[in-house]
Amino acid sequence: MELSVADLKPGETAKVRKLAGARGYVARLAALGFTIGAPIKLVRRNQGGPLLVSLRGTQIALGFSEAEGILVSPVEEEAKAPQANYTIALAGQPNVGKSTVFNLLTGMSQHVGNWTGKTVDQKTGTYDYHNKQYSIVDLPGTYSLSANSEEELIARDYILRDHPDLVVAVVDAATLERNLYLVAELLLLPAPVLLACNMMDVAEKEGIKVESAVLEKAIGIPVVPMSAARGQGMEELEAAIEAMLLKKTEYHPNLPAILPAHKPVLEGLESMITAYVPAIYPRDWVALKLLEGDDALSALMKGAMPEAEWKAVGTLLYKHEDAVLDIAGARYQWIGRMVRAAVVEPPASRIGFTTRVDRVLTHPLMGTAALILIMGCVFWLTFSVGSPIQEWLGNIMGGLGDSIRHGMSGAPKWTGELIAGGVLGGLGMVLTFLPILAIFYLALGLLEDTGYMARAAYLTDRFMHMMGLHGKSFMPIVLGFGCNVPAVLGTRIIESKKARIQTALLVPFVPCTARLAVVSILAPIFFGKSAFWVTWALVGGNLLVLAILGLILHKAAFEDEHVAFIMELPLYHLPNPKTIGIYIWQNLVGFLKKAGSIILVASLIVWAFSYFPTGSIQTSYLGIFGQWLTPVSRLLGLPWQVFVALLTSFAAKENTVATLSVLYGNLTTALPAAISTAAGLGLLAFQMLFVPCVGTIAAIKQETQSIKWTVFSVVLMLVLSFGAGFSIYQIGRII
Amino acid sequence: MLRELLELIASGRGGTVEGIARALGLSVAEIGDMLSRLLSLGYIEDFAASCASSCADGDEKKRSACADCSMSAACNFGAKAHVWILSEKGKNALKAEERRIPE
Repeated sequence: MELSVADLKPGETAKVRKLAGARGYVARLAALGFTIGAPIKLVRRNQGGPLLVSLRGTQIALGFSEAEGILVSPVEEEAKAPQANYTIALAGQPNVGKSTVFNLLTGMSQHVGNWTGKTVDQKTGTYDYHNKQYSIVDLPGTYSLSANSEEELIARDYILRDHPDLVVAVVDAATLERNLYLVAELLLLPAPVLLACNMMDVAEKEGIKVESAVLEKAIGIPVVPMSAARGQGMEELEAAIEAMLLKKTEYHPNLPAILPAHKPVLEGLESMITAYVPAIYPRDWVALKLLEGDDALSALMKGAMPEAEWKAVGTLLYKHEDAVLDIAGARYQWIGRMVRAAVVEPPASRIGFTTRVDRVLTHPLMGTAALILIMGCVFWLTFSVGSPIQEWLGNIMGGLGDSIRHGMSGAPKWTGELIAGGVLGGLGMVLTFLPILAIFYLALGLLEDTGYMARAAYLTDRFMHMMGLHGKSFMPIVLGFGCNVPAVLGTRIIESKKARIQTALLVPFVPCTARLAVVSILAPIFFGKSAFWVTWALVGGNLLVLAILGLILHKAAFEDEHVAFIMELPLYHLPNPKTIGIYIWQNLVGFLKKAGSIILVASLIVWAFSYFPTGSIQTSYLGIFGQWLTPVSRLLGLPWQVFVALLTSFAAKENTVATLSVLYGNLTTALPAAISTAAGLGLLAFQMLFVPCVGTIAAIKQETQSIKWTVFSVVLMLVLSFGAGFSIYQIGRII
Repeated sequence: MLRELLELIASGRGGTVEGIARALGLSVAEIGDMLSRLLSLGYIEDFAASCASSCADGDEKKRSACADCSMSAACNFGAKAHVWILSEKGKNALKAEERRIPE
């Protein structure tokens, strides 16, 4: 018959042998300290009530059925007072399961406070093992001990000042190479280190095999493989801690090497500071840290040494200010040796999901085809779902305008027209496009959050290479897809003034989100279900113009530009609905704010000029001005109203839609009646290549520091946009 | 090791972290950690992080320039892709190394 906790008598002690139940339940018990081998004592048995047990210095109440699921084996009662106390520091990076190890060791006997004088949490606890008591101090999670943060300072100062008997370094077996840097630094401190190689189950699941015995030999310190979240390896850890503290374990750490060139420097430095190093600090460690450029220790030694002697130290350190590259580099070499010795990663497991997908999505040909397809899908989704909703809202808005005019028939005519034509006609119609924008942002948000946009940027880099625009120019150009303003400002990273100016000239040809949003609104009005093909072609057209201009500019000035960057692409992951929701919300709120300010003001100005002084658009101020423009707009096949709308986009791209709405009312029905399809296509091409918004032009002026180049940029875009609109319309007419 | 990585970034060979890892015979995780180290030591800068998010929390000049843009609140195109470039400190370290080699 199997013995369980429920079978124990009060005062009787046993060892946990097995936990029965579902995996999640077992994990919860393990987290409470019910791990295999843990001593458990029945304290009290209440008739029909819970059982009170003592585990790891804590009393826990268990239901009868829970107690029955904890199978135990009897042990001889060894209830003696603890014979010795040891202090153990638990170190590790964040997210390596350090807290789980701490909770499993200490159970409920924990105390949470603050490190003296700091706001960082300090967790301490105790556990008993083989009649000895161990105090555990959970050090803050840190990536190194280089005094880059308060947590790092706390961790290393604790080890130096409080001299724990042992440091247990918890590492993540699945990312061992990212965890060993901290271990390399811990080994330099005056406390023995034991390596708890946690998350072995996760590593195994990912096909990574960590050979702990080999790792133990390579580093020269005890290594305990474990999976704390499953409660596995805790008994072995406790046994290893005991063995180490009782000096039953070999401990000959293999430390990272110092470059031969730095040895005399280090020795010289040590002799210079040796008389002034506070007693708690090892002198060789302080010398090494000073050579690494450690600010906290520099300040300490500066205060401890006479000025003249510190000056000599400072001169030596200045001469070797980049020694940290070699010291840290040697640690990485050490890590590489350890990992290569102990980690077996089958070739198949190296090819993760991201790598497999990236073989297609970042391939020069397949990736470009995928990019074109994906962008096509974005436009298709935007138009096929958003446009019908917009049409419906547009009809409602139109009906509302008519009702207002009718309802205000008793008031002066201009007041009704102001509200119906100016406010509802401009701002209201712009707002009907919110569903289209929401879907557009949803698609962009999805691509960004899954990590695809980074691949799009990478492919753009290849595209830039093809036209010779490699180097730092590519980054502002890629950023231009978001907004041209920061993209132009980003050109300041380019050292060569000539290259900087030329990149600033190219950036406005990248269709920014606002430009794309306007095209997303106008394209379905002219092209219905084919709108996404047209939009896709327009984006391609802009990039073609950019490429041709880039090639010309490359011939002129980019010959000697060097590529001086590398890209780190994120892993693909499932999109987070909250992140995407926030992205859409922020964009729509931004759009609404703008609609309520710039677009409303522009709408009212356009309305006022189109209404006064006669109440008829043809004889209004705007009408008179527009008729001046008619010879030019006729070349594009556009009525002067549309041409005026294009010009208002100079203030903000969205104004095109607002102005058209003021002048035409319901765009969905009015525009196709007023403009031919060829002229409509020309209008879209014109919009895509037209002068950027005033913010971008101001940024060009700021970055080029030249009115000449700013004017050149504006004229270049005017010529190209007009040329494109004219050519498309004239060719379309002939066809 | 870190100097080699700096030199590789400066040379432009590799293109991506994966390319660098292949060139140095290391894992992507190792290169990622080394890049984080170089960043904390001030030898490299993350261009994308400093520029792509400039509208939201970048320097004052960029923020004010973005103030009129309706998209500025969510202007994060490409922010997930880190673009590492050498900082002035990184360039100086390589220049010092070049000067040291002929000796």
